[in-house]
Amino acid sequence: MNQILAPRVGPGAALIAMVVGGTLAAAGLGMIAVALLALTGDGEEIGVFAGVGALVLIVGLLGIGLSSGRERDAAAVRPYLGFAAVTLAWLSAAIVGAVPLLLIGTFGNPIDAFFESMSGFTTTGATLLENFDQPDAVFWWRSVMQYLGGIGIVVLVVAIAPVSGTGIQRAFYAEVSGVTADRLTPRIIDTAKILAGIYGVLTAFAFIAYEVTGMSPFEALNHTMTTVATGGFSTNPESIAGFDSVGVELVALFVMILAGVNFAFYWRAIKGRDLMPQLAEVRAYLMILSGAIVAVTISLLIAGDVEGLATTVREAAFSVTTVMTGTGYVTGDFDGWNDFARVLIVMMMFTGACAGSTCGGIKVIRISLLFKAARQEIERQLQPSAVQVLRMGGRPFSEQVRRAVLGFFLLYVLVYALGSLAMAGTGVDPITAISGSATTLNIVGPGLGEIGATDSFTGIPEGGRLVGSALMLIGRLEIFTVVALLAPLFRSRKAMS
Amino acid sequence: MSRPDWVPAAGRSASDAALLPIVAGVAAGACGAGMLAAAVLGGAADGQQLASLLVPGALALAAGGTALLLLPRPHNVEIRPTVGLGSITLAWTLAAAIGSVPLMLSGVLSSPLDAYFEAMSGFSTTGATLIDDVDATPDGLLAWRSVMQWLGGVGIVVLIVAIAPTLAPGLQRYFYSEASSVGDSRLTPRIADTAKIVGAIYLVLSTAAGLAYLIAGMSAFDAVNHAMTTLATGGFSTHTASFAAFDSTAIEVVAIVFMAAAAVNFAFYWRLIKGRSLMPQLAEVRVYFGILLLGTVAVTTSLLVNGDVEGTGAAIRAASFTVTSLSSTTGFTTLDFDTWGGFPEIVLVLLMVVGGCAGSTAGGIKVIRVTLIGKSVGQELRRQTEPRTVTVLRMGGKVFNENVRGAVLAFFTIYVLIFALGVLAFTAAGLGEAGAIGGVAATLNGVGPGLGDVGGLENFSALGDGGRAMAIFLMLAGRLEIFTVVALLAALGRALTRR
Repeated sequence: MNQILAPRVGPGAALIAMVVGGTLAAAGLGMIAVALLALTGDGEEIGVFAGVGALVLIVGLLGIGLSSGRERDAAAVRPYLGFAAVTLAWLSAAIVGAVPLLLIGTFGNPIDAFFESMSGFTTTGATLLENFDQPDAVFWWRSVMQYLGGIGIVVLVVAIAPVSGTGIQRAFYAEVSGVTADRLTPRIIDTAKILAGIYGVLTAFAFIAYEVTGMSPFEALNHTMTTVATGGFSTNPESIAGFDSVGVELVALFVMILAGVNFAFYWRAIKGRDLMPQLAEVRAYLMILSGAIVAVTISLLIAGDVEGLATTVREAAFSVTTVMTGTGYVTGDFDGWNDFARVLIVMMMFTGACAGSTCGGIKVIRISLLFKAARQEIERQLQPSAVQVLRMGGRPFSEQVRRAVLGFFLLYVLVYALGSLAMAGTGVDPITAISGSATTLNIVGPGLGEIGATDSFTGIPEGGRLVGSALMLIGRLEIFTVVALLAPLFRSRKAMS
Repeated sequence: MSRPDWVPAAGRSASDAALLPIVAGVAAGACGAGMLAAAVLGGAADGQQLASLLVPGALALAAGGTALLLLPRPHNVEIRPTVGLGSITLAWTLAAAIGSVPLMLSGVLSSPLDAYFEAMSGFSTTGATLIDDVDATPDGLLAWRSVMQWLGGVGIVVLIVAIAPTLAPGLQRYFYSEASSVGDSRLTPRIADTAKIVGAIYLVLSTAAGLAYLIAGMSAFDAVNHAMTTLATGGFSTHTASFAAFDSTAIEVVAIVFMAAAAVNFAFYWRLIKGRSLMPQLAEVRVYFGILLLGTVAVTTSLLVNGDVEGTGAAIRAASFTVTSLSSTTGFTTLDFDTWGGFPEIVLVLLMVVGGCAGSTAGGIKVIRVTLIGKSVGQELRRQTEPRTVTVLRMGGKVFNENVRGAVLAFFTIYVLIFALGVLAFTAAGLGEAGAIGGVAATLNGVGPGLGDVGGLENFSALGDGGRAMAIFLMLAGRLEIFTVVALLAALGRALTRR
């Protein structure tokens, strides 16, 4: 890495200092917010959050200060540094996020605290928390981590240190790679404002709706943050099932679906712009979602896993939505369902929701393009000379996109296979390994087997928790960002041979 | 494209559709001759149920021979893609239909669906079985199972290495240019010669395997049968317990050597004999043996750590046999790998998915494709950080054009889609998840035994009828490199909707 950094140490280091600093500052502000929020409740452990928060904020501001004035000459920053900066920023967020959890004693083991924090910032929602008898501040912090992680750190950085230039642009595209990157506006800062605005509106809507269903303000605000971020942490040990309320479930369902839509679609809809190709993706998203709900419902009815038609539909709809949007709330114990439903649930984790949303997974637009590319390849068998253009919603995509999407898919499968192997290597059974790898890589939360819907991740040994943490980070940054850091390996090997 | 020059110039037809009855005739004739051979083997052993082989065998041979003598052959016409794909698919589906007859007549498998499953498992060289008690099955029918695999094996290598380029030009991107002989337009100017040489290599290797089994201590009947199913990387055995019935290190070593040999590209042997350039086949073979070694080390380590097997020697023996058997997609078993725990199970499933070399009798994605996929992914990563990099796909010094890259990537995508659909279908047909995943891996890659309900020591009886039909489709599609069957279905679908 030194070789790459050496020639342009100035702008590159400045970019890293800015992105990591901005992220830390945001995390520090989040901790201070937690201290304030906890004042409204039991007020325990406020000191920890205020103290650590202030410290992290100061360090973050120092980082931003270091980079100030340098961001404009970052035009020469290589994409590689963008990837490195963003990956480092997420890692450092997860590390500082673990500190209060360790200090308070929620987790005795640094690895566990790191896992929980990574699960928070990546909006996964997999938890190691078994004892829910914790100070309010701990729950607030879990929710705030997800809320911050949902909007994405580059937006946070821009909000704190209003910068422009190629450097931050590189960082932005490092965070939202490939087909998911939508250029809403020429300037990243404007894009960030739009995204934050949409996020804010969703937040307000969700909070009011949860309040109306009868949640306490504490529960309503916590769940608002984790729903909008499609995170899945809950203040209730039984997750959404603990409320046993159709109203709460409907609100959660509706907000999860909304949060799974491409934010660029909302922006274009508001501005009255051309809705394609986002509208095509949203349509496909809703079709896949409803198709999967119908399939799961039918299989549950045939197998008789759930009592009563209404309950079956309710649990099927909620479970499919929660895994497809990568949220991870639980109402029905899908781990106890028939094998068809269980497999379909895991597959929906991979599909994910729309690109440009807070969700994980491969994303609907990529799945659609994959299907189209596969179909064209089959047609080429029958008409070898046919000229083929990849299209969605009337918009043609370049051959670069075709290659990028196929490459993304290959890499995804590869990382998933290796992740499952590594997870199994820590000594868990195959179903736990392959579902644990799926639920972390697709940033969902619950899996099958030892880590089923009603279990925590404590069923996985320490090594597996580290593997899970890595997969969550890789999945949240859409694979390429983290794995591209290994690119120099490929190059140097080429050079030798 | 002119008339395929491997077709003898007898009667001539101006329509390429005339190819279909000819292919049917070849399939029927080969089946008939094979049944008669199996009857001879069975007659030399227990001599039971020979009529169920002799009667359909004589009929099939007569029908096939008559068709080949009397029917006109397509001459000097371009073979349309649908006809090419159709004739390849017809060869396998018809062979399995004819092959199921003796199984039904003898009462070994009375349900037509089950008999067809067993026959397709034979001709696709898969080795998944529905027979509960193999030991109690009449020897003639056991021999027929082995012959089906042997025919399926020689069929696929001759098809892929020699015939497919002429028969289905569109398939070159999948079968030929990338798989068997990249860079050369064909192996020899005379495809019939190539086919003969490849067939001869197959026959020589089979004979060598039979002799080696005999020397290692198998009975003559077992040796002949296992030689056929080893070279085909098929995996049918004459014993319910498969290779555990012999419990002999020598026999296992022979099996390992010949399973690995059968998973090597036959174009590689051809080039070796002809003294031609060995690239890129040698590169693929190297990667293949690297994978075998790595898989064996991983599984051995896991067995030792978990204490599944007593002693290092036993662990190496169990791991090397199982890894070679599953990776070459043969499917012989000694121990129940289904109880070895998550890590080795996932390693074994991944090995099944990778499979052997292209242009061999092995199934799976194939080593060359996996290598190209890996290289492609590495290049995409480089392009992320250096968008202006120009990347060329290369293996063993040969350059692959962008068409090959597209074809390989699309192949993988469709493979994953079919795999996922198969798992869903198998769970709907009553298998548990591990059984469903293992079952799809075992059928789509032509292995045989899977995990869970269809694990190493089980057979496919746990699968419901719908699942058996799905398994038949997966075995066929996997054997014909997926695109053959899928493209044919797409063409049929298009023809139907057009009306």
